[in-house]
Amino acid sequence: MKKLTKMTLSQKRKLVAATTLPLCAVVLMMGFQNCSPGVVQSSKLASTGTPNGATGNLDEDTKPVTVAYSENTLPTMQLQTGMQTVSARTLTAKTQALAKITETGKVDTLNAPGLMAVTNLAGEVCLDLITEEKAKAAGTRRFFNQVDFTKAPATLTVDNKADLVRRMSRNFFGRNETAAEKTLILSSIDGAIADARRTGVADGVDTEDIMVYTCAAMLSSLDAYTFK
Amino acid sequence: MTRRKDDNTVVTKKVNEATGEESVIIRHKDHAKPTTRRDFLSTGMIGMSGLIVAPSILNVLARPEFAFGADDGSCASSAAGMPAFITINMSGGASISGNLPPLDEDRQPLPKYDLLRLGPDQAVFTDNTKGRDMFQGVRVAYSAAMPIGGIWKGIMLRATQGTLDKTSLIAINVTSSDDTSSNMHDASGMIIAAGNTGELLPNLGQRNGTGTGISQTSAVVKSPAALIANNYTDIAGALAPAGTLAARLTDSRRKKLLELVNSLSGSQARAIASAGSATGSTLAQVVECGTGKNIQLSNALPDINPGMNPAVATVWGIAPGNTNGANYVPATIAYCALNGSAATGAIELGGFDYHGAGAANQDAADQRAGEVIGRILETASILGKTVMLHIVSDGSVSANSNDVYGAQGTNDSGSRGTNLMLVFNPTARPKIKNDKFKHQIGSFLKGQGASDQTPVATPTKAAAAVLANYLQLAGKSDKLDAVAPGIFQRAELDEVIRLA
Repeated sequence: MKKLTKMTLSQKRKLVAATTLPLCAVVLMMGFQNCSPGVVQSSKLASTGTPNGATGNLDEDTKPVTVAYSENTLPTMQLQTGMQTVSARTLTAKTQALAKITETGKVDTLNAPGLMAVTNLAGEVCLDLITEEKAKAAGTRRFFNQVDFTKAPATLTVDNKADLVRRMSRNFFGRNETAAEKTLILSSIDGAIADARRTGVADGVDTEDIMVYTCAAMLSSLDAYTFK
Repeated sequence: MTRRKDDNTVVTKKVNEATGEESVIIRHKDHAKPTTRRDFLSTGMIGMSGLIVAPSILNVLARPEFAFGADDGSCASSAAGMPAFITINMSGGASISGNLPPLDEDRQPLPKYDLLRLGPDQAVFTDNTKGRDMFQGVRVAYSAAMPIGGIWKGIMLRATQGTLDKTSLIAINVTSSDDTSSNMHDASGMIIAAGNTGELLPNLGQRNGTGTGISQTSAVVKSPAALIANNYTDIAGALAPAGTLAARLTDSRRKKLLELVNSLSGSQARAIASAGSATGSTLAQVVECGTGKNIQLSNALPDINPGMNPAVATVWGIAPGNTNGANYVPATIAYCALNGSAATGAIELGGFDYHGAGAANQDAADQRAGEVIGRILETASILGKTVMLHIVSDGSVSANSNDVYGAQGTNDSGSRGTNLMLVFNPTARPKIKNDKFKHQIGSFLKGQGASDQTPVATPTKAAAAVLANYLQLAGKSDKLDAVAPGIFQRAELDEVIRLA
């Protein structure tokens, strides 16, 4: 075999082509499998829910975006919350949500009832998450380790709430929250805490309600179920 | 070394002195020798980029939404002014041809109708105890004394004469497969693609698994997944926080929650769009409109409950306090489709795999379908809405040879199929073209089966014919080629479009 330095330019080019092109082909073939089922499950021209008939066409988009489709919405939420099992109540809610959430994950099949169904399902998963974590010692919790479920939500400090938002953002969005998101969420939480609580509920239950509120909002916001 | 090859080409042979490698360069005489990176790019990339880009542009231009006009970025529905569209599936293979005797290619009666349950002659056209004229002089099979004409009996039971006076009937003769959900009879995907999108809800249906909400498959354009309604709360619950969120959050907190989801999702969607993704841009608009709509809905429950409209509730025999009643779901589907809350409606009626069940049972089932049709027409009249009803089935039945008028259908027989379009306009009866094709698209052969030599030889084409007439009704015939490109020859449209 010739040494590289003694090869002609043409021979060097052939060598580079012979080694890199197959490698590129393998990467292209293997690397983009199963990015999202929505990419391959075409539902061309499905326009409901898209104002004025606007559609996104994945076949032509160089940066396709899909969302969690009906069957994988709950598994996605379980992965994000770290819940291996969910309650029968949540499974029932999932069954009811199936017909409302997009079957394909294509963005042009999204509509208001589908987004509402995602939010409702998030509420069920979040209640399961709170129930599971409340039973653990505060220091061993994944999300609520600065939340005291025996006290009123008004006792949560800004740092307590910021810690909660950071943990949920990292797990749900796969990144830290932006400064704008942090401001928005903390302000919304404070607004909810300032609202009158449900009639007759104790401080700890009201804190649970606020945690359901925060968790469901973040778990059903777009970045929590988007593949891009 | 350079030498001329011919008058137009110059061939240059080069030898690398260090390696001894030879290379040959061929160029046109009138082209300068490329010397810079830009020269090389311009000679090769322009043509290549044309090859890459041209098909994409053609694809974009060919998309219906492009043809329908640019999106203005608002959240307004494009459905305003479009007629309502509701499909009724008589699941199992109904004897629709036994209710509406089909005509031949020249639009003359067949020699006999025994296989269609209407006797071994043409008496249904001449004997007023066996047939009657309805809907602008269309001859239908009808007998007060015999188990025939159940569809019309049902319609007349539930719709007033005033409503029927503003209704037209069109028949489509087409063969379909028996007892299967694979017939491509469902036109709702095309109707929605033509712009009939709901204000609040997607297309509504009753049957899971097909995507269309009924036991039929989409024709030409796949229907968006129907919201399946097994009861009223399936629809109402889709528009408001439910379950844990309804139980644990106060009204005020629920509204704040939806506002937070809207704000978070909106900013996240805009970030995706700004990254240059076309689907991301669509996503941004869809999500902002969708979550924004949910905030609106949390402030006031929209008008989706037929039980709250006393006149409509009377037509359907329902009460708002009993949403589990049998009629509540079809009433809600029809009501939402008619008032524009939903894109389209699809109602599944079971019990039509009734061959061999006896003529009385077959007529009773047909009457049950007719009553649903009549109630929808009457609801449209109350609401003052224009509507097209598309009545389909999977296959049909046949009676025995030489059986008498009113005999039962004994066998599955998909070749004897007919679909119906009923079109109601609150202002005046939609006119049918006064030409040789009359009220019928396609035709039957003397053997009493649908001809496969017509413009509607398949369920898909029959569904496209429904679209063509729907667009005519909506005054948007120019959209036909965009939604169902090339499905009909220009000459076929004379027969296919029956509405004037």
